[in-house]
Amino acid sequence: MLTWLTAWARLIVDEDAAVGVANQAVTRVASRRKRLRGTDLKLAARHEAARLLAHGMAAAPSDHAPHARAQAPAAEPPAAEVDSDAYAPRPASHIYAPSPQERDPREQTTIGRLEIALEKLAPYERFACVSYFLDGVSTDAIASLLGVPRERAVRILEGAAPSVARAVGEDTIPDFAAATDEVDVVTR
Amino acid sequence: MSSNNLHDAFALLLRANQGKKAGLSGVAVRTIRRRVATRWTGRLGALVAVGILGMVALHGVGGGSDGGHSATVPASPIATPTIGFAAATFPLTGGPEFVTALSALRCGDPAPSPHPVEHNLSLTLRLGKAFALGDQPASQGLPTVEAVVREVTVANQGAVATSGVDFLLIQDGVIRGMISGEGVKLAQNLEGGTVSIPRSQMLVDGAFCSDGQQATPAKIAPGTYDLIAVGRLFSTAESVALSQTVGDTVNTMYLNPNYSTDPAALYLPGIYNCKQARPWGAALRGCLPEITNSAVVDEARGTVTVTYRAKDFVDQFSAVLVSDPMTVDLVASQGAAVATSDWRSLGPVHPVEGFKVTGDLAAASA
Repeated sequence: MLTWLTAWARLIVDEDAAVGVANQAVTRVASRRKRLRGTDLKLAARHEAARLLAHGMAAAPSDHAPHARAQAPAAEPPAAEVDSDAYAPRPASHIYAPSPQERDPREQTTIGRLEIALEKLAPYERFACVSYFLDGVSTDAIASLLGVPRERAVRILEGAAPSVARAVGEDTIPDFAAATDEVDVVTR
Repeated sequence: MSSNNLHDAFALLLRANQGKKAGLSGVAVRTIRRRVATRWTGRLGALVAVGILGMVALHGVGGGSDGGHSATVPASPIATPTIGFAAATFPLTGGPEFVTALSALRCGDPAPSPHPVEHNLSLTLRLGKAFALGDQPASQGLPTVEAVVREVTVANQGAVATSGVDFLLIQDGVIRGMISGEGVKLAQNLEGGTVSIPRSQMLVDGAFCSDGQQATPAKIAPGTYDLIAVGRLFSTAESVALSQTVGDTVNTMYLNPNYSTDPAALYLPGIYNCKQARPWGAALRGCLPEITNSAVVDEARGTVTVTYRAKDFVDQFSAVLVSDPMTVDLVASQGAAVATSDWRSLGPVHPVEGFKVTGDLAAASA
């Protein structure tokens, strides 16, 4: 279970932090509910890990704080298709754009692209996406975990989901503002 | 749902993360090398020491080159040469004593007969110190009932462990529910060491039934029940060695073979799983060589050998003790339980069918 929980937390934070969170969550749950076993223990541990992350490394910044992604360099605009022989002015950064051979090999697979897309998100955005898409947690529950109003949770999901959806070739973005019962709860 | 593709992609990524083999860090590799070197140095040292001891012993028995000399040498005050240490070898999965006595019981079974004294140890119930008869149930959070483990005489028992003292709720001589105690204690306090049931658990909602694998709510009605404590007390080379090696400061819960940490994982010194368990503070037998140089894992046999100070291992035994009952009124979660009487007030004849009052109970309650 520890391995599974670490892998889950690894979707949101780096390896060391994931190990720490998973250990802490399992210990807490084991101490509190000694009689939980199997799936119940797994779910409780995941919930505890989610709580730890939502109040720690994946906490949502206040509305007034600078947006984590806003501090990251803006995505490069797509290069216009030009004749390879013709000269065209390009942004200076384009000089260092990787050639196809130098591209991240992960781009060749869906989960690789998803991994790359997640890396570009802030931890609280990753947390929201993992909770919603993988765990089937409702927008309300995500808002509650992150300690933000529902509207803020909707905005977080709406901001993060397009890049994640693009990565896996999904065209449809769910209506995050929809009622809770429209979201299937998936427990694995 | 429109996000099936997204869910599947996340699930695949999660699976990929799970399958990632974590390579050992440079520090871990160096640590393993150092341990291997230390172990071999230790083994060679032990062989040399055994050789020297053997030569000394032969010299003593044979009297050396002068056979008549031995008769004049005064006898050693120590009959058998000893260095005060012994080795305990036990399975990586743990000995059977670490399984709780509760695990063999089920809701609906007849209540076990009181058996409060065995092997110079007693298990009794008493009202919690912070709670007296007539108290209002408003004082939330205070313990209501305590199980007390005590030595009957002052004879030295050595280090005594318990796989956990748990509680049973009895009605009409039948087990109706269970309340969890505190789990494994490697060095049980024998001078009145207690296991308490917090008030928050002394509720009808706090009771559970277990099939040995999973626990479900007992779903019992508020009312009067008899409460008994059940616990296994034991002393084995394994428990003594573990007590001296890891103490009770770590997470001893997983010493119970029924609580497997991760069935798919192999816990051996130096491998990733032990590294993961370290910050968790879990006392895992397979990881003992990471705690002490005196522990050696035999992977092929699935055992671990640990040296321990022999003075703490007095007598090997394993005894399941069942306390005499105490009558309690259980209420729903909005209130709290009220213990209506001390078991002693019940007198030598127990009011609940299914209990056999033993001579010990009669004597103890007199």
